[in-house]
Amino acid sequence: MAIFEWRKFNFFDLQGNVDDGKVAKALKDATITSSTNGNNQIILCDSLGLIHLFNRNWDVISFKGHDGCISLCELATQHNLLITVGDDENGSVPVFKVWNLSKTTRSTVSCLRTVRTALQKPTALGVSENGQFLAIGFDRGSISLYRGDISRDRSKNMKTLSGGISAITGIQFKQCGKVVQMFVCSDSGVLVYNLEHKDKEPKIVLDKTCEPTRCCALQKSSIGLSETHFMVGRDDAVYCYTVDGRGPCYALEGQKSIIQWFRSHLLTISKPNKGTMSTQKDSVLTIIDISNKFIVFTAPISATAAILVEFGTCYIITTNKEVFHLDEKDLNSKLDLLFQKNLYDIAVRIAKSNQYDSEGLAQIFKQYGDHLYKKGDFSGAVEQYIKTIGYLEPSYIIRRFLDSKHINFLTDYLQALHKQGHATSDHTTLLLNCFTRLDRTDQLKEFLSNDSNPDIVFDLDVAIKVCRTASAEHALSLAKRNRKHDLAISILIEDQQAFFEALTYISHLKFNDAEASLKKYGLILMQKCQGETTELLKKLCTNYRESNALGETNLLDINAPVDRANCEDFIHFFVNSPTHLIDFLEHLVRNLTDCSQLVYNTLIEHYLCEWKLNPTSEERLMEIMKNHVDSYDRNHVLILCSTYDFWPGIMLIYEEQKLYHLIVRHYLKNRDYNSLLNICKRLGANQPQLWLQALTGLRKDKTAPSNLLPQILQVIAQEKLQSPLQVLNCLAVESGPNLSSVREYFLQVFQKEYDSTKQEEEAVEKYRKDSVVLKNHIKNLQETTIEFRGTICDTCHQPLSMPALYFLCQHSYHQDCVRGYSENDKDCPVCHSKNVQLVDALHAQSESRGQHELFHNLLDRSTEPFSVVAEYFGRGLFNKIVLVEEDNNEINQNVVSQRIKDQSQVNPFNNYGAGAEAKIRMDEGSTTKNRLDPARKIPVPEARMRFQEANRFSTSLEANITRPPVVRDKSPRVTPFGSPKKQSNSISKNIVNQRAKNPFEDGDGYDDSKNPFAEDEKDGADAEQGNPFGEYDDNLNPFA
Amino acid sequence: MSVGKSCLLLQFTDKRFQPVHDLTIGVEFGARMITIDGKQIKLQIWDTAGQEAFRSITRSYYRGAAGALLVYDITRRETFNHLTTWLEDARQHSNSNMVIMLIGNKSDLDSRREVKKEEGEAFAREHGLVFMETSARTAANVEEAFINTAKEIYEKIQEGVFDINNEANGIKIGQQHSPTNPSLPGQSQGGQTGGGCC
Repeated sequence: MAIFEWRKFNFFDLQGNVDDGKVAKALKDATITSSTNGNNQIILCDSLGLIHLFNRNWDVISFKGHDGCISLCELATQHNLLITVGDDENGSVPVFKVWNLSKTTRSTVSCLRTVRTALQKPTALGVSENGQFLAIGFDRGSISLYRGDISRDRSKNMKTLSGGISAITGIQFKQCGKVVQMFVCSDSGVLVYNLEHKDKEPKIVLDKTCEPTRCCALQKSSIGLSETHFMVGRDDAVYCYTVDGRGPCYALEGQKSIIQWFRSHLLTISKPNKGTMSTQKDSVLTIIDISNKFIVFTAPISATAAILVEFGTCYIITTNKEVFHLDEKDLNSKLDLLFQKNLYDIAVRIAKSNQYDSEGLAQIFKQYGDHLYKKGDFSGAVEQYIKTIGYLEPSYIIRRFLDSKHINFLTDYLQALHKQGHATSDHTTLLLNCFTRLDRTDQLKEFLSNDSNPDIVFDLDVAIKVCRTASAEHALSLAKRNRKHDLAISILIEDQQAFFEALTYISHLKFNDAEASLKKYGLILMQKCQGETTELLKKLCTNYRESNALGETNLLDINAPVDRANCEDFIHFFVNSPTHLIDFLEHLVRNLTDCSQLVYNTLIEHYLCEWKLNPTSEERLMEIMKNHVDSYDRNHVLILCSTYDFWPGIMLIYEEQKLYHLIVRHYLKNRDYNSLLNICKRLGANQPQLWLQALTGLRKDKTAPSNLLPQILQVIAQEKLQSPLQVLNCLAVESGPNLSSVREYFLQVFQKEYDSTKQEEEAVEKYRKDSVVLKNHIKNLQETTIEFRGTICDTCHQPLSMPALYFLCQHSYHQDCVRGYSENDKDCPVCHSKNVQLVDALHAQSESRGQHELFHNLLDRSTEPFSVVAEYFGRGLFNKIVLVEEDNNEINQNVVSQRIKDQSQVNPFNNYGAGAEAKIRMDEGSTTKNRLDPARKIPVPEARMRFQEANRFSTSLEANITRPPVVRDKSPRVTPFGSPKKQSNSISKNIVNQRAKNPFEDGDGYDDSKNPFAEDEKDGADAEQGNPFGEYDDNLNPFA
Repeated sequence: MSVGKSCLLLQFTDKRFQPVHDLTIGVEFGARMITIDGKQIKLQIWDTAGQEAFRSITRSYYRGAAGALLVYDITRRETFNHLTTWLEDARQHSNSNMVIMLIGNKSDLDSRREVKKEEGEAFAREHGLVFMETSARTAANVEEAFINTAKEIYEKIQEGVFDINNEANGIKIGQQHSPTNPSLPGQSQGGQTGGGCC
C-alpha cells in the first residue's frame, strides 16, 4: 500500500467541459487514437484518419491525413512539422507522413512526404525537436531510425535497430549539446542510444527489468533538478533514468497508462492493479509534486486519451472526448489548506519554492510557531519564531515565553535576536537576566565575549548593569574590555570589595579618568586601603601631571588648575585618617610649588592636632609655618593656632601680619618679660611705639622685674620716642611704678635738657658775638674809612703796580691779573666762587619760597604743621631777599643768618622731642634780632619790608582761604587759589581776554568792578594802595 | 523513526542536516565527485526506502551496485536485529563482490544508545563487513563512511575482482575523462543501499 505513504493534498481542481463540446463535435463518432501538441496547437488524430488542429479557443481545423486509423503522431516543434503514422488505403504497410503545419490554409495542409515503413505494427514514434531524427518503434522490438531532415525524402538514411524482443512503448529524443540521446523503453528494459557519431548508435542498457511498461515521459528540465530524467511508468512505481543509469524512483502503484510532466509535477493516469471495479471512471489521475514529495492531487477519472500540456496549462482529454482543465489553486489557497492541516513546514517549503516574499514567510513561521506553541513544543516554536526576526515584533514572542519555565526558550530566541542585530537594550537586559536565571554562565560568557563582534549589537551599559546583579566577574571583564572604567571600578568596589584591584585599575587609567574615578570612589577606597590610596593620590596630584607635562606643554596649562582642584577634592577623603592626610599633604608640599592655601591650611591644622597630642612635633610645625608663610591663609591659620593655643605659631603670624602690638600684648599678659624685651629690641627700631606699648603695659605690673622698666625708659629716652612729659603722664597713674624705678630716667632727661640748654645758650652767645662783629664790620664799612693796604697781587703774588684793583674784601690785584681770572673786574676772583654759591643758595631759597603748593602739601602731610610753618619762617619766607651784587658783605651777612637756619635744619630731631621747641624759638630769636635792627637792613628799609611782608602774608592767606569773592565771580575758570602775584593778574587778564568765549557770560553784562582780580590789574605793580588788607595791624601779626 | 539513511546522504552530498525528513518513498538519488588515489570518481548513491512495502522496488537497485551501506540506528536495538534480513537480501540480489559497510548511525545520541559499538564491530567481523559509527547530525564519520566504501571498491578494482567492462557490477569507466587509459576507472559507480527498519 505504498500509495498511502505519500502525503496527499488537493492543490488542483479538475474543470470539465472547457471546450464547450467542440472537441466532441469535431471528432463526431471517431475515437481519438493519438494526440500531440506544441506551438500553440493541440493536435488530435482519430480512427478515421482525420487530423484535427485545435487552437486555444478550441476552434478546429480538420483535414484528412490517412485513409485509415492514425495510430501515432508527433510534432517537431522547431519547424512545426507534424509526423503521423497510420494505415493507408492500399495496403497493410503503414506509412508515415510529414505535414508542414506552418503552411496551413483553411482546409488544406501541405503534406511533405509519405514514406512506407516496415511491415510491422508501429507502436512508438519519436522525433527530435529540430526534426533531424525520427524513430519509429515496432511491436517486435525493432526501431527504424531516420537521420537527416525529415521534411526531405531521404529514405536511404533509414537504419533499423534492435531494441529487444518486446514491443517498443516509448521513444524520446534528448538534445544535449551536440549529442542527441534516444531513450527507448519497452517491456524488456530501458535503453539509451547515443547518436553522436554518424552511422554509429552505441547502445547502453539502463535497465533490464522485465516488467510491463506502458508509458514514458521525458522530464523537462525544471527548477531544482540538474539532470533530465527519462521516466518510465511501471505498475509499482515511476522509475527515472539518466544517461548514466538509474536515478530515483517514485513508488506509486497502479497500471500507468499515461505519465506526463507538468511543471514540477508528475501526472499519471493509472488503473488499479487489481481492477475489480469497472465503473466508468476506473482510472485515477494522480499528481505528484516531485520536489516536495507529496501528492498534490488525486481524482478518479474515466479512461483518458491524452494529457496535453499546452498554452501554459494542462488539459486532459478522455476517450469520451471530454476535455478537462487542470486548475492549479493559487498559493494562498494552497497555504490555507496546509494551515488547516497544520502542515506549516510544507507550507514554508511550498512558499519558498514559489518565491514567496520573506514577510509572507515570516507570517507562516509565526503561524507555525503559534501552532507548535499550542501543542506544547516550545523549542520547535522558538525555532520557528526565530525565523520571523526582522518582521515580527519581538515583544509578541517574548510575551509568550515570559513564564519562568519557558525561560530557556526565551533565551534562545533572544540570542537569535541579538545575532541578527535586531535587539534593543531591553532585549539585552532580558537576555542577560535569562542567562543568569538559568545559570548559563558559559553562554553568558560567550555572549559577552561577542561584544567586539559588529554583528552582535547590544547596549553595553545595560549589559554590564544586568551582569552585575548576577555575575560581577563577567560584568567586570566586559567593562574592562570596553573601557567602561567607571563601571569597572564600581563593580570592583561595590560588588567584589576588591579595593586593591580597583586601585590598581585606576592607576592604569588616563589622568582624566583616574581623576574622575578617584573623586567618585576615593572615599571608600580610603576607608578600605588607606596606604595604597594615599600613594595613588600622591601620584595623581604630582606624577600624573608631570607625565602630562612631558607629553605636551599645552596640556600642562590646561591641566594645572585641574590638578590643583584635585588636591582639594581629595582632602576630604582623609577625614578618618589624619596620618595619611599629613603624609599626602607633605608629599604635595614637597613636590608642588603651587599648592593651594587649603593644602597648607589643612596640613597645618593637622600638624596642630598632632602637636596637641605630641608636642615634639612642634619643630615640624614651625618649619612649615615659617617656610611657607605666603602659601597659607594666615587668618585661617591664626584662628587654628589660637584654637590649639599654639603660641609660637600665633606669634609668627602676628609678626608676619605686622600685628606687633598683639605680640606685645601677649607677652605682657603672660608676663614673659624676656620675650617682651627681645621683641621690642628686635622690632623696636622700626616700630618705636612698641616700646611705648610695653611701657604702658608694664606701668601697673607689680611683678615685672625692677630693671625692666628702666630699660624700656632708657630706650625711649635714647630714641626720643616720647617726650618726657608724655612719659610722665603715662606713668603718673594710680598704682603706677614708684619713683625709684623711673628716677634714673628722669635724672637723665633733666641732665640732657640741661646740657642741651647749655649748649644752645653757648651757641646763642657765640652767634650774638659773631653778629656784633659783623655789625661792627658793616658799620665800619659804611661809616669809617677803609684803608686798602694790599701791596701784593693776590694772584701773582707780585708787588702791586698800577693799574690795580682793590676789593672790599681786602684782596688786591693787578688789573691784568684779574682779567685773566674773571670775565669782569667787579668781582674778587678769590671770593667770587664763594659768593656765587651763596647767591645760588639764596636764589634757591627764594624759589622754594614761591612754591606754595609744595608748602601746602608739606603742611597737609606733616604731623606737626607748626614745625613746618616755623621752618618756612626760618628760611625767611617773608623776607624779601634782594641780592646786592656790589655789596659782598651785605650778602655775607644775609648768608650768616641763613647758615644758622641751615644749622638748625641739620638736626632731624630739632622739630621733635625734648628741646625742639626751645630750639625753634632760639632760631626765631636770632632771626628776629636781625630783623629788629632796622639799621642793619640795608637792602630794604625795615618799614617797607614789613609792609611787604604784611602784603605777602595777606596774599598767602588769601591763598589759604576759599574766598567768597570767587563765588561772586561767575566765571568757573577763575581759580580760587589764584596767585596773588603778577601771575594771578595775568590769569585775570586772560580771563578778560577770553571773555567772549566764556559760555557763562553774556559779554556786556560782565562787571569788571566785581572781579577782584580786575582791581589787582588796575593797581599794577604797586599793590600798596589797592591792598584790601591795607588796615592790617602789624602788631597783631603773631609772626612778627 | 528511520535509521537516517536519507540524512546520511544529504549530509554527504549537500553537507547539511535536515532534522525533519519525509519518509523516502521509492528510491532517492544523489551523486558526488570524490578523489581517490588522484582519480576523479563519481559516486552515484541510491537511497532506498526502508519500509517493507518498497522492498520489491529497492531490491532491483541492488543489482548493479558496487557497494552498499547497511545502516542501523544505535538507539534502537530492533534496527540492529533486522540487519541479518537486510544483509541476506542484499547478498541475494547483488553480485557477490559487492562491498558492504555496516554503519551505526546517530552516534551523537550516545545517551540513548541501545547497541554497543562492540556489538556492531562483532557483527561486522562475523559477516565480513567494514564497520563504522556515524552521525548525520554532526557529520561525524559521514564522509569517511562513503569514501572508505569507495576506496574499498577501488582496491577491489585494482585487484581485478571487479570486471570493469561488465556494467552489471555497477562500475563504468568514464569515457570523457580518461579515454587513453581504459585500464583504470575514471569513474566509479558505487551503489548503496541502506538497511534498517522503522
